[in-house]
Amino acid sequence: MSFLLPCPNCGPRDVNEFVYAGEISVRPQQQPSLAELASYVYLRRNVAGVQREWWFHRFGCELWFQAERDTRTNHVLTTELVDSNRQV
Amino acid sequence: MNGLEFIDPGLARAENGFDPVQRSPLERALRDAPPEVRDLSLQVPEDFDRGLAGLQVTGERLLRRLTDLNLDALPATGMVANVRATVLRDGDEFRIFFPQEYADHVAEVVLDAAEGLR
Amino acid sequence: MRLPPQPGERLHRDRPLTFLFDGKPVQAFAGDTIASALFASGRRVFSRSFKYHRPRGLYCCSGHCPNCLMQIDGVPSVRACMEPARDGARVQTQNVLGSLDRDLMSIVDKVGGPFLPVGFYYRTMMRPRRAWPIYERFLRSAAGLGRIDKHGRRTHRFDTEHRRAEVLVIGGGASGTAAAREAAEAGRQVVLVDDGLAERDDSSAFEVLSPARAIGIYEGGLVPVDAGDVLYRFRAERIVVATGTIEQPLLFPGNDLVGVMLAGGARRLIDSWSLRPGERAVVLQAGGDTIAANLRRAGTDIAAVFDVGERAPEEIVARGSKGRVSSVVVDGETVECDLVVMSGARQPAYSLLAQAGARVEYDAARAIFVPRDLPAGVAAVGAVTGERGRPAHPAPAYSGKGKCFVCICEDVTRKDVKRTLAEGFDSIELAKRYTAVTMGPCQGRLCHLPAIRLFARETGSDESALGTTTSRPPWAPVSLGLLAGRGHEPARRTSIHHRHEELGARMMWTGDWRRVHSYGDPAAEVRAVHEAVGVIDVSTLGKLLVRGPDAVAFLERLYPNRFADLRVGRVRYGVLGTDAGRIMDDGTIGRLAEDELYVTTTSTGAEVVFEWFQWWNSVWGFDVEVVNLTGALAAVNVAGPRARELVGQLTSLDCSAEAFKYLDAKRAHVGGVPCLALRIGFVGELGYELHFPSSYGEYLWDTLLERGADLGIRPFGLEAQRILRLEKQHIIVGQDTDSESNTLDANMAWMVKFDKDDFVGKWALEHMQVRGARERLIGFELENGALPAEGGQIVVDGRPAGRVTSARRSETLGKAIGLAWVPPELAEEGARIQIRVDGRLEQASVRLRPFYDPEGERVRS
Repeated sequence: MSFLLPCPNCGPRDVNEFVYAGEISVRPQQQPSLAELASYVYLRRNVAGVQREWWFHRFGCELWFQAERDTRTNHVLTTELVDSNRQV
Repeated sequence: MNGLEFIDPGLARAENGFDPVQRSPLERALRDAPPEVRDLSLQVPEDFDRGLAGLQVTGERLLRRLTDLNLDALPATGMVANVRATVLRDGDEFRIFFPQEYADHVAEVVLDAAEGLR
Repeated sequence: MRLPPQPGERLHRDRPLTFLFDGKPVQAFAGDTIASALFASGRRVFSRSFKYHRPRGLYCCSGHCPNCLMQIDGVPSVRACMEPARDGARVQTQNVLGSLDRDLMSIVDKVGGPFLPVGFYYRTMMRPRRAWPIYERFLRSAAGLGRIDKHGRRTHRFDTEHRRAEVLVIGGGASGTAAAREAAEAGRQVVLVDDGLAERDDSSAFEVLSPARAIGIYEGGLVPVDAGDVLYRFRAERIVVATGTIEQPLLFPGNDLVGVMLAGGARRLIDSWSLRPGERAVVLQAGGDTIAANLRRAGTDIAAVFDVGERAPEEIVARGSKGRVSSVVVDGETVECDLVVMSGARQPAYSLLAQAGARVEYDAARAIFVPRDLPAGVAAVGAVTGERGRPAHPAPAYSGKGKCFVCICEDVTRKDVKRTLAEGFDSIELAKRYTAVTMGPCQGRLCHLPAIRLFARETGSDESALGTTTSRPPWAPVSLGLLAGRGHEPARRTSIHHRHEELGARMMWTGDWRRVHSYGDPAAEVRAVHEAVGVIDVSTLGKLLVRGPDAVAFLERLYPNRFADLRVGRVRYGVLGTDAGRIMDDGTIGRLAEDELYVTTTSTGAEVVFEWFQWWNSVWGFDVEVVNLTGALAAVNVAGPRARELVGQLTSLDCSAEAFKYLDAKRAHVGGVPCLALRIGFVGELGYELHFPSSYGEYLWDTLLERGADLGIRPFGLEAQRILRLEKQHIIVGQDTDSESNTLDANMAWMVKFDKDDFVGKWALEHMQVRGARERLIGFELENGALPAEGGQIVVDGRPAGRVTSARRSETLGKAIGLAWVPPELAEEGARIQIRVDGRLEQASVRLRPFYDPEGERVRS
């Protein structure tokens, strides 16, 4: 894996400078049922296509950001720092 | 209490028969280093994180054996010798600052790379 | 044997040199390759084939085929036809039993056929099963090419260098050079990479790396280039592939005999090294430029020329004696010769383009596979595009008696391909894996197209329906040493590390930290902590400063613990969990000020916890800042009944029991160094953990040892620490817990404040509370001295029912103690459990309270 990931802060860098934290998931707003909890903790959509996901620039600016990446081609469409009003 | 001040080495004081002495984490590893590699650990810029080791490396080709950072787009923070480091440039001189716990490792990698270019 | 200097000769006849071939000296000129010099000396057999050990001679002379592989200066499988002759080089044959000219293994060719058909290793040498070790030894030494020293160390230096290029041109032939010049004239920064074969005029308009091979095209314009001793990792904005075409062989019985070679090989022998490839030649061409003129110039007698493209014969058979060609039969007409020059299609070398994402399509008119739909940033120029190919009739595989080789690398014959199809491997990917076609040193350069063609014919389909197999890097064989580079292993060391080495400590790894296991006598170290005072370097602990108006609220949301009631100057133990309710890490949380907390983590967890904190804050957006001080601060733990005496000597801080209580956090200068002092108790005795700037590590360590000498101080390491904490039943996350463990089952339910609104893991823990424990973590002790292994089984009614996570002998207590997960019904004080130790079942007793000082009086003193 060697694609370039454009960090919103530092610009395009080798993907190995980053930690991948998976597709975004939505944390339940209030007490979830067991099924909802299990789904939130364990299940993912795992799309073959454009996925919105979390990355951390471990070897650079140490910021968390979200990216939209096509999981079939590793083409990164967008990266952006997150507005904390976005609920996960 | 204002947190970070308590880790400022400058607050150490000679008192009651105690005379604190700082040691650079790179001192031993760079004892016999060639001129193109110098220890800057005791000269880390004021506004940088505390507890970093620092190295001065001369020569762009040597840098390219240590990092894939774009050397025309410095200063930047990225991977140098597999370690997170901040690199600054002044002509053909590069200053690299990285966590001091990697001092021996980075020194080993840099000295070895310099050897490879001889 | 040398011709007079030919136009384009690469020799420097004024610089002779000598190398050794199997111990005998061979004359050469500077500019020769090992192979050309050997050919000049009269050698015609260069290797023995992989399976049948048939003699093989020079064939392509351009680094594609396996025929010239030799061991050169200790390096196995070097292509002698590309390797420059060096004075004093030691060249040895490989893959022979005996000599090149008399290889005893060639018995395989004569009688082994029926026993070694394609895929034989899936069927033969299986019974009797007891004989497998014998079969295995034989097979392992028979298979493979070349020898390596099993005990060898790094003997060769390989470096890695990162490069950038605006335009990277791969291939320095006419098209590649033209493309490079054009880009350079347009002001681009251009680098051209060439494997050294092409004839080019040196240009300073752009940088040239030669000999150098691009070994693949990866995502992000990454092109690794093998330049012998250096691996250049290029990031290119634009890649231009100009790798040209590869001349394909013809398929007919006897097509692997010594003396049968590709037209390009013959041409190079003549033009580059002024050698006559043979005395009497038969030329078989499928259209294209003629080699005949070159042969004539070299003085070779041309016995016959067949244009097999124009009029395809029914039958072609090459016959020979002792492995060397002596005649060719074409449709009944026999022509005597000692050289057969053949030339099939010119297949574009598209592999790099396919790796980059191009599609590969069959061009029926030209009878070749061509690259299409190049991805952005990648271009192709010259013959590799397929545009130059002339319309051609694809050359079939000719019939006739004798082995007709489809793949000379793996010794796969036409009969093998038929058999493969008959056995049902009828897709090109399956057939490739079954026959091993394209998997040898040529990597499909000389066999991919002919194999697909043969397949198409045998299955009655056509090439475009079959498609090609997937192209993967490396495109050319690459030394593992080059890929490995210098092999530095990143290790973290504390600022006190060198003192440990000077004391002769036995070191160990904790993650990527170097830590002290012990200073030689862990039992004595334990005794010192119980009876006097010990000091341990705990600088590896993760240290995070969490500060801001929302600091407490932030940690309240992350941990199951309560921190709102943690007073300034106090410390609390906390366990971090996930929303799945699992334990992630543990440590201490100290309140330094109203909105400032100091969090410690395990040594290997520091990065993960820092990232975790930062992630949750990007989600929640609290007004808080997290600073990672892990490396910036060193830390030592001074523990033992005399610890107060020692620390008291070094500081003006009041260290009396009343002023500095258990779980207090205070700032003070110790030995003149600004410290954060925490009274916590992992090792069960009165102790002070001092955190201070790492550059004073050695100084403070030295001061403690010096001033503590009269008090009986001993440095102690992780082994002693493990015994001490086990006596107190303190858990180590990752040792006593795993990814499934939760705080309730691990006896830390008291920490979980369910009345909090929300914290990470609350819902899962509530569910677990309702569901009930599945297992419980307990302490155990064995009276009789047997010591279970960590991971040892707890056995109930003859079945495994739990596991031991930690176990040690405690001299202090005179027994073996440990921690284990057991079924909840056994988690009762005094319950009897059985543990499997060395195959026997030993009896142990469950203990739910610390083995040593259960009331904790010593640590709170």
